[in-house]
Formats: sequence, C-alpha cells, structure tokens
Amino acid sequence: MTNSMNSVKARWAAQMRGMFPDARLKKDRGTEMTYEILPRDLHQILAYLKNSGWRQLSMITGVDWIEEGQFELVYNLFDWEQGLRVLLSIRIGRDKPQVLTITNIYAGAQYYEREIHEFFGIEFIGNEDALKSLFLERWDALPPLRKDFDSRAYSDKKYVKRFYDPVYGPQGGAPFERS
Amino acid sequence: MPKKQLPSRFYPVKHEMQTVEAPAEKISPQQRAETWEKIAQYFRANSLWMLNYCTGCCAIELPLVMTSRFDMERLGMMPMATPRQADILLVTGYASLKTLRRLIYTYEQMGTPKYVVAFGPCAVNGGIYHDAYAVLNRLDLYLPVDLYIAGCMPKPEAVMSGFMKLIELIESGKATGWKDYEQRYEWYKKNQLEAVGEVFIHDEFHE
Repeated sequence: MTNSMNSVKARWAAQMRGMFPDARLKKDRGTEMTYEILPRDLHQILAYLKNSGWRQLSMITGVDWIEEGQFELVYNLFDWEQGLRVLLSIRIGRDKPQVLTITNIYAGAQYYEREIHEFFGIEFIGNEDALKSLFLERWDALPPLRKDFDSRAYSDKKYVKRFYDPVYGPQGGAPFERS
Repeated sequence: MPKKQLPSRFYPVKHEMQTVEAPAEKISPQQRAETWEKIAQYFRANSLWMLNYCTGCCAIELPLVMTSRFDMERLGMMPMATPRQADILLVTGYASLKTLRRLIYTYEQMGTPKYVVAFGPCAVNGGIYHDAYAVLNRLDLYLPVDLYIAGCMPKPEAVMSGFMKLIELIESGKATGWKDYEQRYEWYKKNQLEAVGEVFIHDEFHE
C-alpha cells in the first residue's frame, strides 16, 4: 500500500472516530477494516459511508453466538475507488431478534435480509418482503442455521434414507432395483 | 495395449441400419406394433436431446463431455434449451427442497419418452449431504431414475460410458422409467407430498 493511500485511510479513520465515538475499530488488515458498532448507530454510519464512497453492499451475513445469547450481523461494504472494505458488525439479543431494515439505504439488501430472516429467524422491521421464503419453501422447523438446530436429527426424521451393506471390489455395489 | 473400439454404431460413416426382417405372411397387429416399437427405439436411442438440470457439483464435468475432447455429439446427444424438446433429464447432483420441486415441474413438462440420469452418490443416498437439512436423500422415490452414474464427481469417461449404457438400455427397451411414472403416478405423488409438503408452489416468479 502506498503512502498516499495510507494517509487517505488514516484521515478517513480519524473522521470516523470523531463522528461515531461508539464505533470500535476491532481489526485493521490494511485493505479491510472491521468496526463493532451499536445497532442504533447502524443507519447513520451506513448513510455516511455510502456518501463517502462505499457504494457497494457486498454482503450481509449472520453469526449465532449461542453461549452469549446474541446474534451478530455483519454488513460488508466495499469502496471501488480506494479498494477498501469495511465490515460493520452489530450484536442483537437472541430472543425475539429484531433489527431495522437497511433497504432504504442499500436497496440491494433485500435478498440478504430475506436470506437471514429465513436461516436465522431475525426479523427486519420495515421490510415485509423479508418474510417471504427464499430457499426453504414451507419450512416447518427452527431456522436451520441457528446453533440449536440439529440438522442430522431433522434429516433423519423428515427424509427417507437408503441403507445397504456395501460389497467392495470390482463386482461389488448394491443391486439396482426400483423400489 | 490396443485401444478399445467403440461399438460400430458410434461411427457415423460405417453406420449400418439395424435390419428388421420383413414378414413373409400377414402379421398380427401385436407383431406390427412390436416392430414399430423396435424401429422407434432405434431412432430414440440415436438422437437424444438432453436437459441438464445442474443441481450440484457434478455439472462441472459436463462441459468436458460436451466439448471436443469427449464430444458427446458423436453419440447423437446434444444439449437442449427447453424441457418440452428434451428427452433426457440429467440430475447432476443432490436435489434440495427447492430444486426437487423444480425438477418435478421440469420432468412433467417433458414429452414422453423421457429418461432420467442421476449423477453421483447424492442422488442415490444423499452422499456427503445425507444429513443436511434441505437435501432429499433418495431421488428414485420422487422421479423414476433410469441410470445412475457413479463417482463423486463422475469423470468424463464415466459419464460417456454411462451415456453409452443409456443408449443400450433405450435400444433394448429397458429404460422404462417414464412408463413406470405413468403407471405408479399416485405412488410417486404420495412420496413427493410426504417429502416437500406441497409440490406446486405459487412463488414470486409466478405472480
């Protein structure tokens, strides 16, 4: 990284510190900076970042911290001019998780919010389309990426399995028969 | 080591028609139907249009089979754009909750005769995804599979050998999955309903 880029980044980071004192810089990996922020600051910071060059929302992803009773949401933004990635992570309570939608700032967040609603059960206030199912139509159990969801038990209960004793060797294999 | 020769019908230049002996006397309607069926099977086996429904990772082997090194077109097979024109449905990998529904829509849109070829272990018993929350373990409960191709993923050689086997099965009239689907339609429908709840879903793309 060149010096000029470094100074641009440093200036921007100082500005960020001044505007949002609650945002804690957790990790700086050169071209990728991770901030831990408060959920109430999220929209302000996103609006500020979008106006200062981070026009692309690359991804929103969720993490289930079951022992701490929290969900983490990570908003992944990218600035094509500086080549700088910013990750904003917020923590919300695990019981009845709710967070305000960001589709009014980044319209492309629509599908990420739908996916997170489906796989973690997090409700996005203000985005009714996020309630529609994306991959798991007619899903009838816990959201599957929660840590307390037992994938194997669900699969064993729901889907018909095939068991056979394999015979190894050139002539081996289970005989083919239509069941 | 001598190179193994393909059966003669894979060489279009030296191609010889399969001869059907003309009966000297009057033949019964049943015999005539059988003869026509044999002729139909011959033509079906030599012109297969396939629809590759790329559900999983096995699909990555198909470009190799299609292109010049293995060249599936010398078997008379080529990829086709829509289900209504296709003869074979290639299920290249696992079927998840969402894809199984689309597989069923697709299969039911295809005109008979139609054949299903399943790739890899995922279609047999779930493979490495056997305990995943959205992967259906056994494809043959929901669609009549005519041929399984082994390998995770099957190499292009295996895919070619599988296609040749499929052509043999069609030519000898053993690939009868579509008849089975018609005969035991209720049974297949029951399995589909048990697995995915409701097959035809009014999703946002059909509003």
